[in-house]
Amino acid sequence: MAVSAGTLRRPAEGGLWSTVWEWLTTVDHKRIGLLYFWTVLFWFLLAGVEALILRLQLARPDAGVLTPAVYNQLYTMHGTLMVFLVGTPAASVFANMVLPLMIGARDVAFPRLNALSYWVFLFGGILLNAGWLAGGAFDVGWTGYANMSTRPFTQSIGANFWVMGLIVLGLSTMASAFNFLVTIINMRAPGMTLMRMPLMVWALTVVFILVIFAFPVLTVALIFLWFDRFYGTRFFDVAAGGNVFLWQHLFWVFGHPEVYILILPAFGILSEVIPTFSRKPIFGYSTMVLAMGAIAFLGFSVWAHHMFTTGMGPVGNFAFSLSTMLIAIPTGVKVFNWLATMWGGRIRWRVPMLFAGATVLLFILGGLSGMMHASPPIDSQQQDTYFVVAHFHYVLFGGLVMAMFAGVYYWLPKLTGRLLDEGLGKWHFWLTFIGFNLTFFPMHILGALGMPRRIYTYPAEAGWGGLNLLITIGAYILALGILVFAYNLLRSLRKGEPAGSDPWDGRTLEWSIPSPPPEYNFEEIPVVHGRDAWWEQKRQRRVAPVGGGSNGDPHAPGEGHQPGPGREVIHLPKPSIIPLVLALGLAVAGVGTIYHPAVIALGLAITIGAIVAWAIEPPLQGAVHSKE
Amino acid sequence: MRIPPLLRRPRWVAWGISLFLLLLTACASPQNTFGGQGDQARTILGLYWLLIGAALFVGVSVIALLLYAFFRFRERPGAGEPKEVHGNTALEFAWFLIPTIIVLIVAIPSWRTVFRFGQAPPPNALQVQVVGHQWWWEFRYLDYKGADGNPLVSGNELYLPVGRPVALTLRSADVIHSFWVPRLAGKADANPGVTTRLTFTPLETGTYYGQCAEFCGLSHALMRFRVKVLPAEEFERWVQSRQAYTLPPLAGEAEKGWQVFQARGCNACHTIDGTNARGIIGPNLTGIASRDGVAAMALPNTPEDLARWLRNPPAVKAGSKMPNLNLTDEEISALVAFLATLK
Repeated sequence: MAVSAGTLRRPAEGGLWSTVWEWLTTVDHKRIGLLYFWTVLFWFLLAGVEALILRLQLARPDAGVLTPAVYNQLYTMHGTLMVFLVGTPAASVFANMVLPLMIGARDVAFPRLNALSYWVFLFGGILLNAGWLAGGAFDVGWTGYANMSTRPFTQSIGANFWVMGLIVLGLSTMASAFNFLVTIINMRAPGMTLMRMPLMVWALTVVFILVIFAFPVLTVALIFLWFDRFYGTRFFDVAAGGNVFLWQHLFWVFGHPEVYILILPAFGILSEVIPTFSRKPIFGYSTMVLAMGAIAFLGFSVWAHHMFTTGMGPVGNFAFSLSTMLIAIPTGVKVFNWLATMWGGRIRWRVPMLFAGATVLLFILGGLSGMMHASPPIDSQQQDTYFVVAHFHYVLFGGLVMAMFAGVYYWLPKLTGRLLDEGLGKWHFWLTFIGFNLTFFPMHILGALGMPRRIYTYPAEAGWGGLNLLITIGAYILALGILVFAYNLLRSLRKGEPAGSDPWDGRTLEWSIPSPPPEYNFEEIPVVHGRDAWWEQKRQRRVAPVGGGSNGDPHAPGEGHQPGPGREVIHLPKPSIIPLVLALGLAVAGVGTIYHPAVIALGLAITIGAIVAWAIEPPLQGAVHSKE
Repeated sequence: MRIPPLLRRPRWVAWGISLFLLLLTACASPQNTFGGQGDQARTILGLYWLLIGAALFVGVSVIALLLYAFFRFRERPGAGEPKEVHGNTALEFAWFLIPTIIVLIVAIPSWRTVFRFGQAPPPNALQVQVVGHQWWWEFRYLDYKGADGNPLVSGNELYLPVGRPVALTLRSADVIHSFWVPRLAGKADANPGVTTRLTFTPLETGTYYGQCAEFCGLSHALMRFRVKVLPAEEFERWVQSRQAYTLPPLAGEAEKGWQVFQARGCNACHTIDGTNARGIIGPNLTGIASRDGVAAMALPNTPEDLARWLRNPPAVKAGSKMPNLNLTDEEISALVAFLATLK
């Protein structure tokens, strides 16, 4: 079977159905990356719309736009979606899009497992949101505090969908983490030692290690809650001897490493974009790796700083304040290293770099407000107020989402073969940057003025009306920026300027192959002699990028890829529908746990059948020949 | 100096000024954390300024460096290839050291305060038990017994004498709540099944706004309360009047209201001191006429708002345990007249 380059936008040979089938059965990490990307974008837009509706209710005091019931559901689902369906899969989005390309691999270690991760992510996400259709979404906040979330206080069916959705999503995240760790450990190109890996790969490595240790704890907490809700256990039933702090400890033992699961991909993106656009290698590579390791390690020792006001006593508060403040040190090191990378460089003000610069700026602000509530006495005034809301939006929107935008402008052209528009990108950047700050900066002040979070209304006499109106205006400016982004994305697919293989004069291996890359990524596995492998090749050997480079003919990237006799043989994984079927089986079983045991049996039957079929199905398809 | 283009446009300057004014008016907020009218809030405020100062210093200097680098090293035509710098051990050590020093500057006073706040309350402290309910507050004055031998109880308004330490013990009757009066002290959670402590001394008389800070269900937003810090003598007078509380002489509408109160079963849930109304499901209504609001400050305490509340409580406060009793207009106005006598 002939596979040419540009499989990602190759016109389908058998019409629409065959194209759909190709995507449903794909095991190609690049296509799975795009599936992840579009799905995450969808959830991001949905959660964003939820936030916009919330802002209408909060724009003025005593507003009646939403009932308290709907408000509580919306804010809960906004947070849940942004954390579990946008931030958490960010690592999988970018790992799928570029990780194998960056380490010189032909695919991930377990391509079918990779497809399974995606389909479980999709169905888990739908399950998580299904409460809306079944009579009301979960309404206890994304943190789902028990005993509030146990059945005596929350009867809604949305709570069941929330718990089961998160349990199912955990499977996807874990599978993805193991898959990419094995890929990173085993499939690096010859010569790419650990300390020669691009920092993006390092960041993702740390993320996946964190996932493996943190997510099981969440699953345990969720199973406790599930058992309390359904089978009469009493983990959180205080009157029966249960413990009201158990959920909080378990949730935050997961929840704080989760914060680093969310932010480290952003650190990785910055560590690639900033050197490329400054035309300098990253400053202090080893300290960057060390800092990420330190952040990950300390990240597991800070969880109870979310619990300073629960009455842990001075020793507990002191200990968790200490470990929290320590994290400021490796974080500071990273910021300074990015600064030093820019220093003396030749900074090209292209859209990815604008987003990267803004990310550093906003992350500094988010870090500093975080420093404030690392102090338990100050936290006792900031905990559960809009100050905290401001803080984590600076870190997670200003830090993660802005960095994701940088990453999308930077790497998406590698997969689609087309650049996003620079002018629209700048509109996107400025609207987002201004809208973001207008939305979230005043929240610091609101918090200091005593406005608690998660309240659906406030009286005029509280004096919060003016700032809230300003915030709502800011939110809609921000939304306008996101609309420009969405338009830019869609436009780029058809009308975008062809990217060529190396549009940014990149430094890492993904820029040495055509855009979009052939299905097998590398015709010849590269040999790596140092960091910034592609940059070194370009400098020392003056190699022209494959496919003509940014100045070459972008329409001919696939030329010369016809297989012929005597050429290298590449074994590609066989497309398979089984991962989708297996994921569907899990989702059906999940729905069954809420409604009826017979449905569980049906779901498990599908799942087990799929597992058996998976075991029997041959993993490889016929060999493909690359050029000499 | 060159005036930045933005500032050359009067419209933008006007916007900037109105924004600034908006922020200033916002500071009149009665629930702000900068009041410092309690010793705890005042100590935190001192720390607050230290941390804000440190954050401003770090933020301004690092962001200035960032912007400088971003503009100064912007690509210019004809610029040469930048030098390949891979690192510098001395520098990297320096920016390990800088955050360490800054962390120590803010950490040490923070931790000292943690241990100070953790000390046992002084022996002369007023003992008050705080119980959070969905969605109202109960305050039990353990030092003062009422006529029936039980501690005095007030609902949604906490009365304290100025200058005397108060030792609160907090718990919850249902889910987790958080007791927070920003101008007096930082917040402390009220947990079911576990007791937490909060000790502070109110330093100035006045009425302070408080609100539940931990999401506790449907009407979490309407779980507000007030703390009234009184001069010592006035507080004593309040205690005495409550200890000897009996119904005032009732006549006309008010008397009819008292009949309605008993006939419609209000006494099953509410207590009025010195009467046979001993319910404990809802707040104690003794003294309700002098409170700032009704339904945990969801509504101001006016006859119209009280009537609105009685007509259909869950319509005012979603999920309220107080049901719609389908009271007639006459019953409602009688009840309003009766409750107005409970000063």
